[in-house]
Amino acid sequence: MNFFAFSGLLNGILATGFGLFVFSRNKKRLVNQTFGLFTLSMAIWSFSYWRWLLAVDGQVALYWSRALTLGSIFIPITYLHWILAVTGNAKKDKTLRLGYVVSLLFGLLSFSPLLVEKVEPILFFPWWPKPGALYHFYLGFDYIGIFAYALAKLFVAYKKSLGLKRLQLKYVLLGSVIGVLGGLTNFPLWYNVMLPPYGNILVGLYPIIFSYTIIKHRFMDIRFAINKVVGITLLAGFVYAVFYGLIIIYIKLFGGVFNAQAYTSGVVVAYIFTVVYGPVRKFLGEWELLEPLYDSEQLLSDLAEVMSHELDLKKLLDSVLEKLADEVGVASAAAVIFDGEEGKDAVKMVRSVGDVDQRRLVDPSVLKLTSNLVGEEMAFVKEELEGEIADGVNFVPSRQGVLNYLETCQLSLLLPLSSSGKVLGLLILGSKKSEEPYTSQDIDFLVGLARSVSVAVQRATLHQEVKDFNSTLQKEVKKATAKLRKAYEELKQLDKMKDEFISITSHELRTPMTSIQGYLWMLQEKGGELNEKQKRYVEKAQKGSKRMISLINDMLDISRVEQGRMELDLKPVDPSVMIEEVIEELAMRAEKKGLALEFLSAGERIAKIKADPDKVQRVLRNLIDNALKFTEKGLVTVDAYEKGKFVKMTVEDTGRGISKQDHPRLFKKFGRLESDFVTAAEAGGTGLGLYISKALVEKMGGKIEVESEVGKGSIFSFTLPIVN
Amino acid sequence: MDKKRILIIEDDQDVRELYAEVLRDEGFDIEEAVDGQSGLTKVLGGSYDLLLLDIMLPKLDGLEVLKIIKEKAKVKGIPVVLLTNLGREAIIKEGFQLGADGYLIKSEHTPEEIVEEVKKFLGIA
Repeated sequence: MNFFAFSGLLNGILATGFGLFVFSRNKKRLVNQTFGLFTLSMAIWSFSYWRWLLAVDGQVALYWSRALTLGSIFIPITYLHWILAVTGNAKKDKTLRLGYVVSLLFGLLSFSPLLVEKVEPILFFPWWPKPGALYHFYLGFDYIGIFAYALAKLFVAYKKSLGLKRLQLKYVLLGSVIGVLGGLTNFPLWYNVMLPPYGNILVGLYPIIFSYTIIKHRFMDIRFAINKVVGITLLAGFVYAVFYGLIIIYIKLFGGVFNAQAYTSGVVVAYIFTVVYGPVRKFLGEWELLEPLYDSEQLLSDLAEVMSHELDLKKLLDSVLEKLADEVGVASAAAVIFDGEEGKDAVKMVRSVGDVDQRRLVDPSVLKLTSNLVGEEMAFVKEELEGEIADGVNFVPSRQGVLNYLETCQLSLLLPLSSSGKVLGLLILGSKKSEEPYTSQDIDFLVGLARSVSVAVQRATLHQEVKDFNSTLQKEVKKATAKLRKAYEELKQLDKMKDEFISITSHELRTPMTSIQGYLWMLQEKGGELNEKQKRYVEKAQKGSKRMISLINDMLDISRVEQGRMELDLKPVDPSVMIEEVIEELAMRAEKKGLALEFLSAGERIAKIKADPDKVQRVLRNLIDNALKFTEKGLVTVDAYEKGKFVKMTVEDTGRGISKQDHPRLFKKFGRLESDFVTAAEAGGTGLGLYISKALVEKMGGKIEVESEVGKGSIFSFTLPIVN
Repeated sequence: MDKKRILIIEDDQDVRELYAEVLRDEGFDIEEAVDGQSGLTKVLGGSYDLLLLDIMLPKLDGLEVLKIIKEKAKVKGIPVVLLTNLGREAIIKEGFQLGADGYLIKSEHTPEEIVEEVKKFLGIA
């Protein structure tokens, strides 16, 4: 395969691969579609070119030379179509339809002798085609008319464009001119000008140059991350092209032969040269895509560290913005965080670096422009939005809003901060300090950054909410505690007043009771002879006053127990003595009622207990008194015995008994029994005895219990600790 | 034998008169005072064989009166019986520490018992 055949094959492969790549990226966009058509024409031409030069006889060569002409016919018109699509003029241009009609006509005639008459040897080509009658018209129309028109359109659009678009068009123009110039070297031999198509190889440069602008400037909206190997290969290709050009010039000027080995070794040399010799990359300008200004992974991990521990929203945003300014080289940037509870219009915080008009940024009427945003992970770049909206493809209202917002705030790029589809805030960047456009690498980095910032913002917000909630809670708890304390103090005061009242009242009541009782006694004893009626009345009054006094005494005891003022005089006490004394005291009453009152363990030696003798007697008196009160016939027996570390004293009667359900009520204040319809007056008690007894026993470290069933009598017992 | 002289210092008129009456009936010479101050004046100004001294008194508290009496050599030999309501154990204890010779619980004792107690203190019964 000679050099020319190789150039055809190379062009064919590049056109096919590159065309399929661009088309597959977005099949619905006119730019991609027309580029597909263009590269299809290029591929037909190039592959046919290759086959033609490899032909073994004149017939085959003729066939392929006609086929290459067919491809060639459609190159200018599809190129024009693509250029019009890229510059946004496809709909308006009338030349396009005319061009297609004419090209189609030529295409139909491409296999007739009207375009390629025959093949004949010329220079060192055995079967070079000879133009037919219409060939000159085709050449004039397509390559002088359409191609020149397309390039002119491109040049005008380039001159008018700004920013990213201008950069993109610059490379399109460069690639186109190099490709056209190279391609045009195919025509001289058709007109017997002895210049072989050395430039054909240069046609292969346009995909390389277009690729560069795709990688660097997201040309045709293609975001394509490129790795270093591919980048260097492309660069090596470029170097090789230059190298090859110089060789051509050398051969032209000094003569000589350039063989296949030289081509191959040239590729290797160019590759090694590119890898080893760094300055070549710098010399070639903006190839820093291979050596980015910042290491995005390093930067992301640096920021991730800050974001993972920074819970203060303000500090978090400041450090992110600072990094953007210092490391990415952003001239100005801002972050707007919305108040999640209030909805999108309420701004919780806005921070910025560089020259940013914060007030305009959060002006509700301006901020409203972003209200159609949904929480998506993407970057809105002003130039891209302009292009999209000019194209009228993929029109989404939110994009128009974002574009207007960026224009109003004079910023270039917007990243929504979002969490589960909800917009938390915005990260907005101005242009770079270098005034270069954002590269696709920048965009990838920024989208990743926005994702991390969203998470961190949400965490900081939650943290703040919890903190706020905690401090509110603490305040509330403090308030409530103060209230409770006040209420408690008041209650304590009231309780004290109540106790004092009972105490004073009881004392005050006793003095008049003393005189009532005293004078009743006087009436009975010294008031002269009373008749039976009078005697009965006096007795009733005496009984009442006695009950009154014991009630007052019980009330005093209770207030003492409840206030903890009950003083105990603890000492070793002989339980037998206690029991005997109380029995002696109450023997008369038992006798009066015809009941037996016995101490079963009389005379036995029982361990001494540690107790207050007065209080023990008080309990015993109360229990025995109750037993006598509620027993009509039979006997009341008292007993005492040791049980573990305690002495248990029991009072058993043969009275009416108490139902189980009443047991819990027995030891309550005024705990009169429901089942047993006994009133205080009837029972002659105060309803406080068992309550006081229980309090006294427990105060001395013992326990009081009852065992009883209706009709089977009752056993009341209590324990007190043995002296150790 | 001379009539024994007893001074009752008690603010409640009914109680005071009751005790005075039953004791007079028993042949004692009874003097009465209605508060601590006048009671003390009487003790210091006269000669008594026994004092019935209420604890809660206007003007001068019963225990104060007791304390002063027991400090004066001239009168400190007179037996003092405190009159009290039930359950003021702490006060009774304090009274004994100050030199009281006994106590009577007003609401617990019938007038007859009061007389018996008084006689016991005077060594009559």
